[in-house]
Amino acid sequence: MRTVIPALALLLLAGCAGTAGTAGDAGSAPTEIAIGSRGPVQGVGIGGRDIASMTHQMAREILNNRRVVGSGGAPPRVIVDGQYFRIEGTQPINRNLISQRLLTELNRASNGRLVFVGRRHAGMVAEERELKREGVTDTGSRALTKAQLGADYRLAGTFTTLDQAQARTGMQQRYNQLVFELVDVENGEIVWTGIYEVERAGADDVVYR
Amino acid sequence: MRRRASGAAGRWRRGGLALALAAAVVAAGTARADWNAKSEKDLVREADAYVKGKPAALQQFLHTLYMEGEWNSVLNFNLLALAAMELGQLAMAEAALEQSTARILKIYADDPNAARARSLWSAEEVKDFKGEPYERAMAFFYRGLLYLREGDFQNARAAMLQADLQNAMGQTERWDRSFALAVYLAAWASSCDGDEARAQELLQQARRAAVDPFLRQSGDRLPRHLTLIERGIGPEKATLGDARAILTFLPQPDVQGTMRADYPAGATPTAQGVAANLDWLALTRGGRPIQGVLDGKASFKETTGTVAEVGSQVASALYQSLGQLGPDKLSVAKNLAGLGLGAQLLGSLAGLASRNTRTEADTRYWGSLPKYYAVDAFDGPAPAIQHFRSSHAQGQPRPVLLSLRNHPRCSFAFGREFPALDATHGGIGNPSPWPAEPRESNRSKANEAFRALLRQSF
Repeated sequence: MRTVIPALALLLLAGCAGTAGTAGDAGSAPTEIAIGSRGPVQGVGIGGRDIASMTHQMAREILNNRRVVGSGGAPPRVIVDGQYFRIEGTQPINRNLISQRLLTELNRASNGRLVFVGRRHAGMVAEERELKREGVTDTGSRALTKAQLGADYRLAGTFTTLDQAQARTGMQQRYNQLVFELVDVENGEIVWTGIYEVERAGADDVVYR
Repeated sequence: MRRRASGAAGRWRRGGLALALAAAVVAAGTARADWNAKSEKDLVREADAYVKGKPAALQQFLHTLYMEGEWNSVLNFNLLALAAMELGQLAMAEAALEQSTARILKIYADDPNAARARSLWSAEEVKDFKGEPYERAMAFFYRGLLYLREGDFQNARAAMLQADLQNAMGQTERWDRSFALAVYLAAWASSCDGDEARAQELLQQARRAAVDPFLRQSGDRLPRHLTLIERGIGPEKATLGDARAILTFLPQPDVQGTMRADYPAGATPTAQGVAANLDWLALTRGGRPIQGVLDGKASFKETTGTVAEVGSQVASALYQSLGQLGPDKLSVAKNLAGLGLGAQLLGSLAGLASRNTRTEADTRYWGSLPKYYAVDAFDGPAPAIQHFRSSHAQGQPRPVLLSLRNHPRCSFAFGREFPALDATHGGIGNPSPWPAEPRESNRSKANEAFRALLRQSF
């Protein structure tokens, strides 16, 4: 019996040398995660994958909406920023993560069918206009305009959540709903609405409950 | 304050002496192999270089964060956030809380370190720190205060509601689970944002749940200005039983002296009082399922549930009693037992203690949290607060750490009694033990990525 124990220990050691725990035990090298794919860090809220998916979906819907795009005449001017995006749920989020990605997707794909107005840059633009008009700088290579661009539509939206949790099992469940709207800033008409919704549930390991 | 756990874990359950000995040998061997990933000396050198040039009062926090890696990052980021707030480095405080709250929100399922914590051979603290529910809640609470300072009321509300949710996850199901001050601030943020309907809905929710005097007395109207004052030091964690497997919370002795905002003459709060007590949040935590697991049965046990069985009237009396627990730890333990809140602190839980080898409960805790929040409310315009006067600071005024002014609807000011810096800089927020050792290297690549993030962003 005395020889059995060390032998068993050696056997186990040998066994473990080749299979040292699970893949996770061995660490996880920093890896590039494709935008839009599921990463290793997950909760029940909105993550980068959702932002990529929702902005892609919303950009496609906006550009396919004939009331917004392609109604003839000059291309409509749109403000896409986070100023009127309301956070009403339980997950704090940087609104610009959503609005900037949506703006980028739209700007890339619209190919001149929409004109984007950078309202949040209005101060910067005003400064440059003043320098030109005061003769501090020349007028640049393009013609002066009477005023900054006025907009036809502006992005608005709401991020809402519905949370359920069970302390006993540690189960958390959250319905995440993001609603996007394009509002006619002259008459208030909502000319387009899009929705992205996802419900997730998960429970921590028992040691965290 | 915190103990280091022994080395890596085996994956074997009960299997007799031979397996036990073998597993112990394996565990020891694995632990040695882990340290070989990068020598401690090299890591210390890296950490020293990393903190060079950083504010002196933050160097201990950053050094510990660097050394301990992912394993203790939530705790270390929390400590760093409060220390940075103390120095007025609010961007760093925000970034640190972003990191910690993101990790708190992560669902730890199929996590190898959590599996180790469950195993027979490891102490519970081998798991990554997420904190107990009241600590998780406080990370979101502070994030919410930082949003309030910016006037981002919608994100402030989201953070406060998340704080309430995080707290509720741990509360016993027979007891009201609300972190009422967080809900109240969510109501206040809604009102500041112009959403009166939501504000009223949340205000009623906060009042319905509240045992806190300030909230019980508050009417249907939300004030224009709030001053939040942190008093005292929050609860610490302790283990009970022969196997030290039972986690309990030990309030610190009573708050002494005074701390008040230095308002201009004539500015009198329309309401004031204690609005949240962290001892209460900790002590009303429900039983931890892990204790059932540790005892060999996957059952849910109420271990701190005495308070859960009492009615709301009694609860209010108990709540008041938390302000008079005594000037030292022995008095605190005796008084808690007398109140039926902490009989376990004085023993009598031998039956729950494991007869065989069991894990030790994780007693790492966020030491720079306060004991309670006092709130002053003003219905009128914001009073100009230059600083706070504390009888603990030898006459030195304590600064206003966060404030919102010049907003048409709302204003707030926030200060704390004790600095959240480390002891060498006169504070209570020690990242201990100091200097930290590299606690784990079995995730060396993940920790390398973590340290790269620190070098880049902190």
